[in-house]
Amino acid sequence: MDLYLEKINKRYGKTPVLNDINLSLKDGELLTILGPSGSGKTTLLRIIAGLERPNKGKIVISGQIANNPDILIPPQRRDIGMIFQNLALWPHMTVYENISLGLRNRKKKINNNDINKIVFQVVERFGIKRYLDRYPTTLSMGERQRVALARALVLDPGLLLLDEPFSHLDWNLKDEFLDLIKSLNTTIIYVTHQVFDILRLNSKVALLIDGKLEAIGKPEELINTTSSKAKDFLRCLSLYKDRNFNS
Amino acid sequence: MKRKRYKSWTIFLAAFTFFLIIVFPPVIVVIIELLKLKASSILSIGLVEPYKNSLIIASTSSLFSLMISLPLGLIFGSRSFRHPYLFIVILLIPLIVPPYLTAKSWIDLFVKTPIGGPLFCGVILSLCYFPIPLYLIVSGLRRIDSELEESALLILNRWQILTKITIPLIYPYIATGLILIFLFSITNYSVPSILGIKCLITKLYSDFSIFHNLSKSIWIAIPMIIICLFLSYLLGILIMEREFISFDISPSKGIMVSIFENHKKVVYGIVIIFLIILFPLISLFKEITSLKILAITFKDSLRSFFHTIVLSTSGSLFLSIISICCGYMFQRKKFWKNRLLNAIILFPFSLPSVLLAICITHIWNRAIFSILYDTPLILIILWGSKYLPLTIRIISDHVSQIPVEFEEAGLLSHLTQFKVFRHIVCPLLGSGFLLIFWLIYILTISEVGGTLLVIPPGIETLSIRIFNLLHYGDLKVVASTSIMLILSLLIPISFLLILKTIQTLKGKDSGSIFRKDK
Repeated sequence: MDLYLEKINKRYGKTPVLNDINLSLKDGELLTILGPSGSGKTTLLRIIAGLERPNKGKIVISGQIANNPDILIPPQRRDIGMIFQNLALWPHMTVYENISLGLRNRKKKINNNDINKIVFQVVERFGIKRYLDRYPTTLSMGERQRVALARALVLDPGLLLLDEPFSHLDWNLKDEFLDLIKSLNTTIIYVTHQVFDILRLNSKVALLIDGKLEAIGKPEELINTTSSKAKDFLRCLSLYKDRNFNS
Repeated sequence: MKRKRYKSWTIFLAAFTFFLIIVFPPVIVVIIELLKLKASSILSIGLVEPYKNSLIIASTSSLFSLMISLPLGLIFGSRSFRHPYLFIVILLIPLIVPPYLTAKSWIDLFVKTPIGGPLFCGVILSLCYFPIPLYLIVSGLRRIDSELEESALLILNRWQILTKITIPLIYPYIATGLILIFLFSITNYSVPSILGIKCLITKLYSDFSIFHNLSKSIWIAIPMIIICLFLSYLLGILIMEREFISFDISPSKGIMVSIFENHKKVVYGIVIIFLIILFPLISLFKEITSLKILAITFKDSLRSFFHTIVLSTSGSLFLSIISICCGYMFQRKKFWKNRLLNAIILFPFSLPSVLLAICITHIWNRAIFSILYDTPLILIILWGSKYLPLTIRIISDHVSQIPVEFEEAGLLSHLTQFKVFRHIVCPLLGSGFLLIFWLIYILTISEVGGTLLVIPPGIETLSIRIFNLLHYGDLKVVASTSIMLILSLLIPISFLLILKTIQTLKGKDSGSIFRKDK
């Protein structure tokens, strides 16, 4: 799925959150959005998903306008999957129910056997088959992450949005999940504020600072940025990088 | 696209329309009559004594109930009190037993004649309503982070922690409890009526019964309306963004510091429960000397029993559904963020049901509305106009505990707004639904003043029957009928408790959202 954002602006009251964001993403591409806390990363993802409406700008998904001043395609019609920071697994449903709910409510009706087949394929892929009858609150954090991924991917979305879903995982587990993300054959936007993630994913990186897209490119290309804010931020990140690798 | 978005909110708009039709016409009548007001008319009515008595009743009731509920709340809300469930269930009894029955029990126990001043009336009402601030205090205490107290332990003693840290942290809950008690007491008709006290509500009721004069009734009620408006505004501010009623009584949370030792807690709890709740009731029920009286009374009251169960169950169910839809909509559309809107929505709840019934009679007692006014539907309108604002508020608090991401994840899983509400929000609101259903049920069963004014001919609820019997009936018959009333209150409550237990065992209730299991 291709994605094209043109001059996206968002403000909460009088506070600007996003300023003239322009971005394009080709089918199957992986983009990491990097930025400090409060820079508007989550808001940008929510706007792409249709959960929030921008004040200005245009969003085009697979050649179709999803958002402009006159049109708003609701989230359920955008063919987008999203994993939230808190995962948002429904606590009153079992793992199976969490994963299959979207399939059951698709516009194109699928029969129960097919639903089960699809669910089993996904859960086997993520190694959570034995948890199907359990409630999310009884699972460990890593298991919950897998369930959230399975729930998002079972609908085979054209675009997957990941809002810092692995921020509270330990390094080993995070490494495993990042490998998994890399292996997915879909367009992905991954939001993070940790340099480890961009080095591990080695994908195109967009640097979002104070609601502005300061730089975009491969990690090694970012060094040549002319933006002073981006330079300052990258300087901070290299400090973090040293600390992480030294320890 | 816009049309589809509008369509998905249809059910909520329908519920909102019901809410507007049920709740606000009486308020509009009050406002219209207020605009026609002449100052000389109010002065000529002579309201000093009724007002003085009403204020004494409400103030005594609020203060006395605080004296009972604060120490009890500190006991049940502390972390060291491991199993508060039994006490908490027993302490529901005063809320379940209608206030006029409690009043009758105390009269028979001490006074033996139906007389008593406003102070006595206030004390009786506090014995009926003290569980309200108690639950609020426990609810507030369970939300305090125990680290706040632990850090204070390094520099303060237990008493200082209680007065300087714990109580200031729960003051909004205490204040909310006091306001609710004040409102419930000042608007209660049954107890002052039984005790023969000339207060505002009894005057309002008797004047309207005799003269059927709407303007005069509104004139009588003006100062009370102003008090109610002020208190509903204050209530709105206090409960804004606060989860104020909760069934969360898990022993793992709660305050750490308590001035009570463990054994003292148990003794204090048992003494209070026995003295305040069980003793007067036992004294009333000991009047039933033979099973024959009980059997005869049961047979005579079967029709009233049936009316009570059917009316209260259907009314509670209907009003709970409206509450769920409106509560969800009000929370997600951020209605409660606005102080004025808060006060406007809560205002009808603060008005006495007698006044609401008077206004409802004025509005609906017309030939074209006979399908409503001449049938039990008018009772549901009355109960809705009084209790919907409160139950909607409670549901909104429950909705605020559901992370909005749960719904957004549903939308991204191809669910429509309505399906998100049905599959995700409604199951998570299970405990909230049970709570408001139960609340409306017991409040409607106990309601007397307004119900007496609008109840259609040929229909008699158990409350009305007992209330009438209290004035001229035999005490044995009153006691036997009261057992039926308590039974009618216990049937759905037992059912709901079983449901709640099953939900909790399955880990399906909304409380599990925040549970850290692993």
